[in-house]
Amino acid sequence: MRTFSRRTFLKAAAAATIAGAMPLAGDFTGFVRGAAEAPVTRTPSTCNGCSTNCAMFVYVKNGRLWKLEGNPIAMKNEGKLCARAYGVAADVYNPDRVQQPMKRVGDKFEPISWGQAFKEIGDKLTKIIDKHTGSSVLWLCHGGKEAYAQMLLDEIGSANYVTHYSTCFTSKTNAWDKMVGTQLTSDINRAKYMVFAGRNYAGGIMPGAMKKLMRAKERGAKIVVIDPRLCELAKIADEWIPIRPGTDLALYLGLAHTLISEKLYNESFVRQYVFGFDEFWQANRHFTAEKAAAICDIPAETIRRLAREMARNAPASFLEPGYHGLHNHYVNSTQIAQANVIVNALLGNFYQHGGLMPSASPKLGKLALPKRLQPEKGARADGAGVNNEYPTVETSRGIAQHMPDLIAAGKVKALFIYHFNPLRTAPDPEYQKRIINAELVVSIPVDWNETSVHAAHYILPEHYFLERMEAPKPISGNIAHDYPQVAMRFPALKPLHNTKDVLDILKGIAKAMNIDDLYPFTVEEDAAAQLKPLGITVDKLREVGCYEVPEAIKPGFPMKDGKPALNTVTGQVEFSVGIFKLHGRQGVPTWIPPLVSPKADNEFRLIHGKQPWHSHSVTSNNPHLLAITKSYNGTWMWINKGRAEKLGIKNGDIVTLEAKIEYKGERRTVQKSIPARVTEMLHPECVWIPSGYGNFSPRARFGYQQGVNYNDFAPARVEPLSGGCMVQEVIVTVRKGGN
Amino acid sequence: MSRFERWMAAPAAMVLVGLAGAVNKIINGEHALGTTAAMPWGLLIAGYVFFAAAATGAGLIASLGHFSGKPALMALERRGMFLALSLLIPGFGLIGIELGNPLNMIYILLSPNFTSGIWWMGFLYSIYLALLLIECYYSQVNPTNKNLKMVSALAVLNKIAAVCNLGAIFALAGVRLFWNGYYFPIYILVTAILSGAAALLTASYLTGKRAGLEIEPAIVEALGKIMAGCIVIAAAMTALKLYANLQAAEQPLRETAAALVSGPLAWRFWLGEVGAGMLLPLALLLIANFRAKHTFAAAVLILIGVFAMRADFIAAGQIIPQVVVEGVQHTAYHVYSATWTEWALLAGATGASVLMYAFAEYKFTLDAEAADTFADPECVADLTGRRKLTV
Amino acid sequence: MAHYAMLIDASRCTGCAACRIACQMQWQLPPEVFFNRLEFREQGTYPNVRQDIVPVQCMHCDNPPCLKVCPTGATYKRADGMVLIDHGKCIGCKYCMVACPYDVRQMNERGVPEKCRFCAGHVETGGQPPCVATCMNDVRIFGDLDDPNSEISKELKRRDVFQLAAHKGTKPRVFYVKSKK
Repeated sequence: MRTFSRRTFLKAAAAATIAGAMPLAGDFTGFVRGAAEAPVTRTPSTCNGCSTNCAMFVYVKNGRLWKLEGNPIAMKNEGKLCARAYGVAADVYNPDRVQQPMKRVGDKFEPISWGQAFKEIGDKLTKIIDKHTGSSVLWLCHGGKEAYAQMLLDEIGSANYVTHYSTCFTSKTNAWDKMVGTQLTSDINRAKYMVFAGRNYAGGIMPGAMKKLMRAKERGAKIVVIDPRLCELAKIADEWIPIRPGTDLALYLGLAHTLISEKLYNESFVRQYVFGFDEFWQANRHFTAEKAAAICDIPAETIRRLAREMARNAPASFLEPGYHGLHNHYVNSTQIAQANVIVNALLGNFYQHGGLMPSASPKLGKLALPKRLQPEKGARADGAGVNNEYPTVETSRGIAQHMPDLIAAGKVKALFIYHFNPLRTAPDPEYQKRIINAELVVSIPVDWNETSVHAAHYILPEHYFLERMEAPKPISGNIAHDYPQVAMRFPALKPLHNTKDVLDILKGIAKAMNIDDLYPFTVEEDAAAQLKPLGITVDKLREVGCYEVPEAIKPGFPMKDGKPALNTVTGQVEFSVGIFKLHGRQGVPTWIPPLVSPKADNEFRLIHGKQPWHSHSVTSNNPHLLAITKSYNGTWMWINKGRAEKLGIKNGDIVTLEAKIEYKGERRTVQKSIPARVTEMLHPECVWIPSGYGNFSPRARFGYQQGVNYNDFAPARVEPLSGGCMVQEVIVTVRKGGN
Repeated sequence: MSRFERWMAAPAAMVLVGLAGAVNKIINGEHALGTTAAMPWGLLIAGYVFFAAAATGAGLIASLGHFSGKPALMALERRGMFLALSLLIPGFGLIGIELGNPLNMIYILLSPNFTSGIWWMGFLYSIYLALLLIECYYSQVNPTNKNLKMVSALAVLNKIAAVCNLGAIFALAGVRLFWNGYYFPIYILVTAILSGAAALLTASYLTGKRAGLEIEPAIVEALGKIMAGCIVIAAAMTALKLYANLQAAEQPLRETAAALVSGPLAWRFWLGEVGAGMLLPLALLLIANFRAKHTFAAAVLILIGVFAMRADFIAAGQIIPQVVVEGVQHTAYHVYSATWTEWALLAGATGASVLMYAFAEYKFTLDAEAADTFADPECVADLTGRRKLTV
Repeated sequence: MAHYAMLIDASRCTGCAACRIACQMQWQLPPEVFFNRLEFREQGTYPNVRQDIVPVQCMHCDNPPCLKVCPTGATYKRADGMVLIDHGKCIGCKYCMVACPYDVRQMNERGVPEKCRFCAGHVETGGQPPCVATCMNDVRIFGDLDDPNSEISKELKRRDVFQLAAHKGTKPRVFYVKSKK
């Protein structure tokens, strides 16, 4: 229930959106006149609504945000923006932003000055490091742009840079890293036949990908979407193939089996560039399309047809490498990613136009800084890359979802949480709340998110993304584009509140710890140094917003001295991963059933996904986006009509979801109620909930207690190979009625 | 404090409640109302239609008295006019508060749109108000003025046009199937007379009761017959309309009729419209053979019932989601629930109406018979009870 | 004189609602006032099911019922085809809301039933309405029918189109591409 009355909500929203800039007189010709007269500035930035980083121009009128326009050069958005972009931009005026540094006193927060906050945090940190070494300090973040934090960790000797990726997609990056040594991306622009499984570019939106897919459709390319749900991408696809969730590995193995057994695969590619083919075939030669069909609920004939059509169009065809949809969420996610690499390699589409191409990445420079004497780092606290813990997990990403365990074990004493909200976006919030038990928890957010409210000791609010300058960022990637691109965030608005840039926050903490000159530069100087090798200045980038390096990526398998030269042990695509074997696991993927499966009439697998207008928890308190939710019953849980009828559930009925959360020595039952959307567009064995709801921060008032979140029902677990959180290995019971 | 004054405390309190509602509406605008984009017209519009139609009905009966030559009805002429005025002005108040921007009403004159039913409503009811004021004025100052006859004739045409146009606002806009056609102009005319007669009877009965006098049986019978007749016509029309709509080829029509008969509007339809508005009063009227007390009870029930009719027909026209894209599954019905503000404003309008009429009774000579027959002011005073107040 | 119109290819829409909020920003509307919406339609039974998403907005009818019923002429039609509202003349009677067969009128904070403005004041100088410009799937095309070289003129010639609720005689200026079944 919303705590706001309708009127206050509107007032707040109105204050957040219409105050100031717009003339309030009725007739809109007056508005246009006013609009024309007011001075308008246009500042380049990149969207902060998700990690796609769409490049855009921010229009500011009379010092107030007016509107946005996509930057037409940027390959990920080609001038387009999705709803979130507008929502997160407007959120600069959200009254629920943290407006100044805060300190926890009991259950409440009290304002604190920046100077005092730095002093207290610096003192505590110094004491903790003195007593427990720098290895007891951990920086937990979204990831992708925290080079400055890395510098502080280097200085104190902590290896604990941990990103949110283990709650998102690390089984994919891990498998690709270990099998291919790089991440290849789908060349939608030139493909003739595209298969998407667990990748919904119209839900977890990348506008540029949709532009490219639409163009591909117009030129006659085929799009096949495999998803338990008729997702937004499936709506425009040529074919939607529903699959039993958790069994994509079986489908992939069935595809591989067909490709090999029918000799459809690219034999010369395999001979030249693949290591471990025989081992894979040996382990899977009996895993026929029929066997796959029985598991994944897709007819064997369909599996064979898919394989044949992919082969017929190869190398201008691909099985999209995927993202959040399949990776991390199952016990077999690493093998799913492995099998994905294998199917594509069998098509011989690596480094081929229309198949998979490398990300074009601009070669950025680095600020020349004096070398510093720094302590040696100890082992990572999260266990990533550590023998006998999680040796095969990527250390560049780490494991984010088991922080309370690390704290309870005394491994982590001080925790910085930056631009990340594990209490809402990692499994089991009741468990995650124990983050507060660390000696020092500092949250660096923009709004009153759950983590800040329920777990932080100090909250140091960052400037909103429209208020800050950030170092340049390569914005080509995820999908193939021939030219590298770089974009930058420039401040479009003056800071509204008593907030700071993350660099200034780090400077303040370092200074309080008596670390001198750790950051002897400004963001602008850093930006200039990074852009230098590209031959452009910060001012030039300010003008264009997005710069494209005029050097095209060429197709062709990387070779050195006549030999394949991937960044793997053999230089080839390795179907069998050596390091997995080294740690007692199988090197090649074979069928592994999901951990749990629904059995009874009222049991379902709980799966989730992004709704096109929400971005997990980042947008969960935005009045405009929540109004869209209200218009379209966006919080409702999807359930298959046939199954719903058996349970007596009609569209719009309130249902109660129940799951058991079990750990060693701990057992809880979770019950949440939500209206049901009864639909034919979902596999009968699962229920689906959008990922952007279930806000439980009472200080984020617009979204408070709207909808439920998949993380409520999942225990915090770690998939051993890639560190994934396996949140779709959850069975819920569904019954009609509220609790 | 006299009994009369004490009795007036109730409507005065209602007016205060109404003022609170008005203030809330003025401050919070549309958010003070339960209306939505899907159901933009709510209880205030229903209230307005109720008051305006009752005012017209009362006015028509007054005219009837004037032209019919029937003594029983002639006796009601002035009372009818003043009652109409007391109903019309609060009705105007309701719609004035309902309007988002009432101050822009000047544009009804400055840039009239003759294709708009609401424009004609404004026009016809303004004339009605003007004619009523003239008639009321002359009734007190110079009841035998020759021009009054012409004014009254004009007024009859105006009243019929106004009330039919009121129906036409809904019927001829051509977009909401349930309202479409010539049904509602006629239906509103009939039910306007019904509610006008009921209001007149209620007012006369209470006036008499206050003065400790029996209401003239001929008047009771005349109004009772009008009421009974109107009920029969309205019931027949309602039954035919719903029967036809339930069988209609158009799904929205079937759904609307179902909403009334067995859907979200059913309780108000059966209890209010049919029960209080038709069956019970008809039974009371016929069984008691137009005895004053029973007829009065019937009249009060009719007023409640007709208000339910107004609310039902406003809601019914909008309750079914419009089909914009064929095949889209909508929720079955739009939801509208009135807010306290809307109820408060209705209470306020009712209170204002009572107060205005009581004031007229107190201040003016409403009894034609009294004025003509009992020339002695003392007698008039006795009859109307006015004297009791002045001393 | 221009002759503005819009063409919507609903088969391309994936329901992201960017059009709605981009428009809200352009015109600085509060969250619950929006000038375009989506209608969702599900057909068939699992697994043979299809979804349609149809964007709906003011159709800028050539025979606008809302204009016909407006008592003060606050709703008016410009020579270039746009149906607009003079806020200063609107009394807020909501007759237009009741009369609109497309249910697109929305009461704004100032008691005026508002709707899509076809971006009057923005498109005359060559700007594209944000609902068009922001759409990643290029669902909408906006332009001048009097210019034979405009994209919309060409597409209207090329495509098989229809109008919503055309049987109501509204003569909408928003056209829809007929979908291939």
